Amino acid sequence: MFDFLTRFPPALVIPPGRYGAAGAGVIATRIEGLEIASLAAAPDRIEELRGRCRADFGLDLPAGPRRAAGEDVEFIGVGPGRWLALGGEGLEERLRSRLSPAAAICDQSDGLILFDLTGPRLRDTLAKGLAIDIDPSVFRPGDAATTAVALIGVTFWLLDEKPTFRFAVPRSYAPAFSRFLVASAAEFGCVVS
Amino acid sequence: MRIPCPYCGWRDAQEFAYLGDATVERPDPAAADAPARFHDYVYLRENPAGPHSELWRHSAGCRQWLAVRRDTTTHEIIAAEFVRGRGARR
Repeated sequence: MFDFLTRFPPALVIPPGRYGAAGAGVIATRIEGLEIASLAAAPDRIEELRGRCRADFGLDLPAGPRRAAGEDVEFIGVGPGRWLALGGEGLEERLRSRLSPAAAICDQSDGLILFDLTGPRLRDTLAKGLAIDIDPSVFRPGDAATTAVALIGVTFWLLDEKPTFRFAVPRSYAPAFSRFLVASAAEFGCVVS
Repeated sequence: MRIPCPYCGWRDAQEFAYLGDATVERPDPAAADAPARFHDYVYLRENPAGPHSELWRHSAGCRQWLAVRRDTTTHEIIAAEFVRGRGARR
């Protein structure tokens, strides 16, 4: 572990700055302003929920760990009959008015922290903590995964081929996640913005 | 050892919580010999050398219970399916 982390308080998310080697092998950006909600449907309501999402949002709910994105809302498959929804202000109410009671809807905006990660050495960095294959040949834009990174439970998805990965991290684990990221990316140069 | 989750795909066994034997079935508590049957249900387990069915929960992934068919001598995973809905599929 490089010097900085031995001095930095372990309970705080690492602040914006440049860490480790010169350069920008990995760039991490905290995403603010998106609201998050969980959707859960009982097995016998899933088809009804799919129909409502199609009619009201013009989106097909993903049947697996993938992302479906529209203009002001996106859905990420996190389990059978379970999705994360992300969108602008008033998301929970918007979902509730259109999808209830086909799904149980619960606001998660204060429970999950979003980070966008990119950079030429990002995959090398994530490989130090992830046990799944994120090679571009098998993990494509729109693919998602719920797994553990450095033993921290996360859901993430690939936004584009740049690559930009968006990570949703439980709030109380965000400091540990940011430490993993900065420590692992230090040899490539890490920019937190 | 890796387990093919029907939702998430191949995942390391560390992502799963192990419960145990998936072959035992809860007896009818109204049956006349219920105490004896419950004794067997709670305490008696086969210990096969070879293919065995076990309950695993994908606790770091989709949070679903799986019935996993595993060879206890080689750790080969033969099959994995969701427990939810298994009764209906039988």
